[in-house]
Amino acid sequence: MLQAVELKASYGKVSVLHSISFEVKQDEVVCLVGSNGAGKTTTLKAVMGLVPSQGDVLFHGESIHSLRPAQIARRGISYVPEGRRIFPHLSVLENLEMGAYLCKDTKALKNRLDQQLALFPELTGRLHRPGGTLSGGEQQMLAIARALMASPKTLLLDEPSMGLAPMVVDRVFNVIREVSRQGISILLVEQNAAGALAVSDRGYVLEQGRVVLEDSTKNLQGNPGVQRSYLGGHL
Amino acid sequence: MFLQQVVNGITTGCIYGLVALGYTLIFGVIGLINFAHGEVYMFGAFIAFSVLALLGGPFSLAIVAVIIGTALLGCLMDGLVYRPMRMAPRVSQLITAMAVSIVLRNTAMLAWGTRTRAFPSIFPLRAMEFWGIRVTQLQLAIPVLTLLLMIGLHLLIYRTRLGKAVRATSLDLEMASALGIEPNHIIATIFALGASMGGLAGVLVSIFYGSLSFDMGVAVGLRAFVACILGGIGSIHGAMLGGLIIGLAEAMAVGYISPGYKDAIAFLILTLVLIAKPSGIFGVLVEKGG
Ligand SMILES: Nc1ncnc2c1ncn2[C@@H]1O[C@H](COP(=O)(O)OP(=O)(O)O)[C@@H](O)[C@H]1O
Ligand SMILES: [Mg+2]
Repeated sequence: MLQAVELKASYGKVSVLHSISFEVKQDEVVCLVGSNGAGKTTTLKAVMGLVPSQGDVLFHGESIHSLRPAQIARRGISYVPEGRRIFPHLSVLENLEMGAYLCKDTKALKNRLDQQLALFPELTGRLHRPGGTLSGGEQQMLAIARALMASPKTLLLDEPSMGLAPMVVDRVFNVIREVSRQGISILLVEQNAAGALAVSDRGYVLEQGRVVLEDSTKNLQGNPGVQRSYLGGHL
Repeated sequence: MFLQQVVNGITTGCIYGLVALGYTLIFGVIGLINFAHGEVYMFGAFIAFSVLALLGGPFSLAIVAVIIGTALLGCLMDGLVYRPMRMAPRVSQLITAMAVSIVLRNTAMLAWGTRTRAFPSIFPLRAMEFWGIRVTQLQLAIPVLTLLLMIGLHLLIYRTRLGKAVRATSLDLEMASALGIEPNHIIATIFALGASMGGLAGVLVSIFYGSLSFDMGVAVGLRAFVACILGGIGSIHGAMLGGLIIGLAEAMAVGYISPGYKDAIAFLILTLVLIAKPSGIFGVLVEKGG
């Protein structure tokens, strides 16, 4: 359903993505692993229309490549950025409301809010606090909840486990499983390859702006090269 | 004498505050000091003047024309000039804003002439005396109207879906756009909003002084800009407070030192703020950086 075709992107004269192609099918969790600076964040931003790129991005068979970010969001793609990017001076509730900006129906909005609070009970008691006052883990939950408020078909997640305590990391990966069960397809970017592969169906390995490997997670977990470069610290 | 100057200071301070809101709203979202904002204030005055002079009123029609006309002017300014410049370096944008200011001022000069024009006297400006202080009805009306506009703006920004989107966009434009908020719509909205408040301030001043001229926006634009810096640019409440402080300081300088010092006050305050607390009273610049 989401398909990137020979995506290329550069910052100024420095080329960062060299013709990347990948696909996320209906109901799939697909991870994009790679070391720092491999181009994972740039890939997600290119899909979301946040950085200029060449190539094409198809969503349900239609090109969304020349659309503005807001239009891409409208098509049903939600984005959880690296570093969470909660609106710090907006309350938790307002952050969630902004996630559902495109939904003008107050009843549907209330439903979505209840759904998210059921999935993230830790936010319930914090609704009226500024987003910036939450802990890192809570902010990550809020960032995911905010994205889900849009009721997306596909969710892009950029390093959701970064900088979190091990227990919170587990919680994040459990949430990803739960979201996937709700029928939302997921493109997950992670440096934590072990955690990412454990929740994904398929994976792509990115090195210096190129896809060097793509396979089912089972095969990737068994691949000696992947084990050496990406799983060594985690297994 | 003191109370009289307080009354005068509050009147002009409200005007500075209203104009300052336009600067601060726009800066808050796109980081641009719209130096042409003082000219919008002047256009507001001339739109009302023209409606009253050509059509003979009614005053309510003039006010509607000012709100719509200046809002359009704000949107046009953004759409035709600033939007294509959005990715340009900050300095280029500032120079562009100055150019827009010059173009607008000269347009007004060609349209309405270089003379100071008399504003049609629509309200009998009766002055009342309380304990030796002279207060005109308009001097009472200006703070009341300003307060109403401020409350309206506050409710809009803090209570409505659009207002929350404005705040979200000012905090993180890219993130807001990824949530489906069109930044250009938000930016056009605040240009329209800021411009119509500036335009209304221009009308109030013209009625108050009974006159208007093509260059009336320069001095007020400068003071309103300083008011923003003083209040903490990007902060709505700071802009209003900054405006009041400058209005009061000027009135005191006029009353106790000499009317000649009036123009120096804004510069003096600007200098002091930049030395003592460059982020201003509400310190939004620093907050946002953190
Ligand atoms: N805004 C930017 N300007 C210039 N170079 C950038 C920018 N963002 C990222 N890069 C460079 O692009 C490359 C890929 O970055 P990124 O996509 O963030 O990688 P990852 O998310 O895999 O760590 C890196 O070499 C990084 O230094
Ligand atoms: Mg990254």
